Amino acid sequence: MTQDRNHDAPRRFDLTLPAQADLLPRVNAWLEETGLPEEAPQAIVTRIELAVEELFLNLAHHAYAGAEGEARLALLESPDALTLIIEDDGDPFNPLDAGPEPDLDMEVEDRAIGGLGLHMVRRLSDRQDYERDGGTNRLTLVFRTVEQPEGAEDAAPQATQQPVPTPKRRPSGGLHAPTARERKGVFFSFFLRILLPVALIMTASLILAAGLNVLRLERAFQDAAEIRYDSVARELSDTIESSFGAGLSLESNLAVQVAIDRSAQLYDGAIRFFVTDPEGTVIHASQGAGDPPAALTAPEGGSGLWHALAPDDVMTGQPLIVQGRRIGTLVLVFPSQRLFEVTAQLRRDIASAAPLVALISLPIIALIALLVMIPFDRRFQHMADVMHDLADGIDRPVPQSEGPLLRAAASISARLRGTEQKS
Amino acid sequence: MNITEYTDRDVAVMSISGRIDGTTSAEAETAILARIPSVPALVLDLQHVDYVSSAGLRVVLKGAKSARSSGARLVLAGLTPQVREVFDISGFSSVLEIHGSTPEAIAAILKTGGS
Repeated sequence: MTQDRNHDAPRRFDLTLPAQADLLPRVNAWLEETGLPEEAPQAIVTRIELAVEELFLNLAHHAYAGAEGEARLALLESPDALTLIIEDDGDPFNPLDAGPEPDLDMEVEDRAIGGLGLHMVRRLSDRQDYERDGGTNRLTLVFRTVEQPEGAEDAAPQATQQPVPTPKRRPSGGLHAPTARERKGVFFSFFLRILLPVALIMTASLILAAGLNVLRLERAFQDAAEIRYDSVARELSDTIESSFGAGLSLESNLAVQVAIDRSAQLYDGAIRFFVTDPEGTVIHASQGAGDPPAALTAPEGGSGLWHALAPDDVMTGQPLIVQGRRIGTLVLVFPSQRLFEVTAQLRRDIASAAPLVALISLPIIALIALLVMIPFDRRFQHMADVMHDLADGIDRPVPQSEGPLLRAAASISARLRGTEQKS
Repeated sequence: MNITEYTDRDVAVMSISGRIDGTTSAEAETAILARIPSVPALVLDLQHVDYVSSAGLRVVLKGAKSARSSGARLVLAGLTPQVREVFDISGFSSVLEIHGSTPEAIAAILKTGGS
């Protein structure tokens, strides 16, 4: 007999003795010496004692057919089970399928005495394995010392000559009805991945669309302004050209002054105008014109009227041509502050309203999506529950009011039930 | 294994303590089979028995058969949980009369008549 007192490693106890029925006390003494009777649960110890006795006596009586032979017993301890191995070198004999199960319902008188021991061994152990190995019968019985969840049959330690404690398997996932936590997880991941991006994109689109409309409005204002000022530019350039042609100075030309005075009434403010030489240098400016708002050069390739936008003004340029020779450029600067104030204000409005729009539209879009989603979620959830319950073997009534198909199925099953009861 | 016999209110009681296994079953069998023919009823008090193997079951079965043939009544009392399990899985619980304790067994015998 060997003993290994190291609690971390699986312990193993061996006993080899002649297969003789009168040596049963020695077997019992060995079992007690292993120390397991004090450690393992009482019920398990009793079962092992019983199995040892039944198998040893059975072996002593039958294995060697009256001749002498050896019985080898081994007890292995692993974290969650005790394993008993019994070997003999006698005739092949599998105690696990030896004879039919005794009829336990017979009356006392009719009961055969015998066969009981092996029946009890089969019933008392949690797992049984028989193998014929060369000339040896080896029976391995596993007794669990730790309660195991149902269905964890395979987690019982494999009884081998050198058992390795198998790590405890965690309860298998398999098919199961989703927990409330899992449902919420699915729901919120859907919310985060789909609903929220959709709401964000819709809100951003709203704001962008508003900005785009303002740009368009601005463009339209600009076009209108250009058309409006073109005639003034032409009229003035004609006047200026003719006074140049007549050799008059611009200051003395009354027509120019009249045009400027009129513009003050027609437009938001008086027109300022600049005359430049072909190189772009200012050679004349109207009274109080100040500095030009931007470089007074025509856009490249511009030979006719051209327009440019300064921050608060619209500039219209007109080449001055006298006797077929370009002598310079007339640039009119129209104060357009009020006109563009409107679009500027719109732009500011949109910028300041954007957060508010986002703040209001985001939750509203999300809420609408949620409201649409919840009934669907409920129905899918219910169907999932039904399927999971089916898998678990639980009957759950399918709601009968939902949809024409389900109603039809319900009425068919009701009719079937009716005919069953009649027959 | 120890066997004590006594009579309580004219009912014979055989109190066994220890183990009834392949080593001791012969002794128990002799005692029980010797007692049964001379009494109308016998209570087997097993409250101090902590182990019964199939050899022990055979003794009880032989006792029950013997009682049946002599018109006596064999009643078991005070089975510990682990002994009860052995009786249950062997199917003996359903064919034998078993009571929770010796006083209960005696009361049952006195109530329905000893024979």
